[in-house]
Amino acid sequence: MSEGARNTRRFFGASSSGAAGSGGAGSASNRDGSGIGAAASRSSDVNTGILDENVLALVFRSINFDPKALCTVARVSRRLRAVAERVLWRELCISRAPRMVSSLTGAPAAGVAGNPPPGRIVGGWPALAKLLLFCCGAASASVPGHFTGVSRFSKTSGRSFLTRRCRGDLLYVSDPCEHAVPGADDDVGAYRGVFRGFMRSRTRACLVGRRVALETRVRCPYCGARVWSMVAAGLVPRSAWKRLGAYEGRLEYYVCVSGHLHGNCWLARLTSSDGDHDGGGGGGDDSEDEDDEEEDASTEGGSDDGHAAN
Amino acid sequence: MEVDKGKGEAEETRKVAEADRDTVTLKSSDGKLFEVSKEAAARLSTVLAGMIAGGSIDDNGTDLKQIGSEALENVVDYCNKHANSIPSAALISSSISFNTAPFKEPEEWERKFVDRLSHDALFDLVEAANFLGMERLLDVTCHKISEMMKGKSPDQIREVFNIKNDYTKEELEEIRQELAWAFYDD
Repeated sequence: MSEGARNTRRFFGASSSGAAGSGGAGSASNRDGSGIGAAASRSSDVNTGILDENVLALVFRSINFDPKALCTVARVSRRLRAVAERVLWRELCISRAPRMVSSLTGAPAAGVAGNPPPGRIVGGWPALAKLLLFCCGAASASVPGHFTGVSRFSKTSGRSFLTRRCRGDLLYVSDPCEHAVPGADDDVGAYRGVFRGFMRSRTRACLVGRRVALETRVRCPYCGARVWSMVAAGLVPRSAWKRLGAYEGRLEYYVCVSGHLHGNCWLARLTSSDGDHDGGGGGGDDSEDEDDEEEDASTEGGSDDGHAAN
Repeated sequence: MEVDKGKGEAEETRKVAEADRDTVTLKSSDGKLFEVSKEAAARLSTVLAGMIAGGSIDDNGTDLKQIGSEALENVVDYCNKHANSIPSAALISSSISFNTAPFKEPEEWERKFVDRLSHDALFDLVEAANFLGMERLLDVTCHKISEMMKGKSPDQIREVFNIKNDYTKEELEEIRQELAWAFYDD
């Protein structure tokens, strides 16, 4: 089933289920400040319409939840920011990475009629949206972060970042985003990821058990929370270097208290520019599992560019 | 059937109604009656299609308590224009599989249709279209609103939609930095 169908069903779900009033009445109560009735208050309280949660969701759906427009709208007022954080960022995440979101939230697969949207997510929807769409760069190599077009997140990659005893955790990690560094022979690969249910993960239990101190100088680029260095904690398995095709030891990664991962490594520059790191490095003991679900999280070219980027 | 026609009801309705009499009557929250082609209503609104199929259409006017007369008039107007303007093969097939189709740019007449609406009327129409499950009308109206926001700064959006800035200066700066990431393009 397509995403379009899923979205449609969700938006219409409330209003067509008998209590059609929920569309009108419910939204009226959402209207900022004006605790007065619905339609009647319209004329006096101009343009409350755009502040309506349903209307906003529909408007942003029509521009495929364009992240730039969303960032802008959240700066307009507290009310708009609240709606963005509760609904719009979530819908953006679902539109870009439906299976990943359902896997992270434990919610039933998107696309099945009647399923309510997932409620909360650790670290918040804005942080997850940024994680899907923003490469963290590499501060240590003076590589700035940047907005990304298409990123691929996978659980297989995630597994290679987990030590043997933490393999039960579910972690999505992106392919490394490669950056040339002036004056350096090698490229920097920046990657990012997110744990499911980090609070109850083995990784967190290990970090807490080993009394690993939180970093003082690094913060999570996605939610701003404090982070642990997995290198300092001694929790980086060899499979991580192999997976990335990185030089051994020249890798760092951090996990924040909300379970967002970010890091970078030095990659041997390949002769062919489109070389595939996985092919050389990760193939051996880390073969693809049959049930692995790769997930593209992308800004989805077509309609996105068409409506929003200009 | 006696119908107290809504004031701005379009010419087209009459023609359609006289041609086949195959119409349904809708009643707004404030008690005004509107007549609309059954075929167009069923094709453009999933909720009306359900009501028609389920036989819950009232000949004396099906109550739509959530929709005011101005919005309902626009809904009916849209249905009639849609029914009359372009029953091209492409459009019909696209409306069948609409849920799965990518967004399609509004047609010229659809643009004109939403351009003439005031902000309030536009928002009311979005809600009415949402309530009635009118995919295409929703897309067209929401697209209009998104165009009103497109490329605008937060200040300009406040101006266009008459929204008060309730952030403090410090909060505004903080959130500006927090949400700048989407603009750091490659």
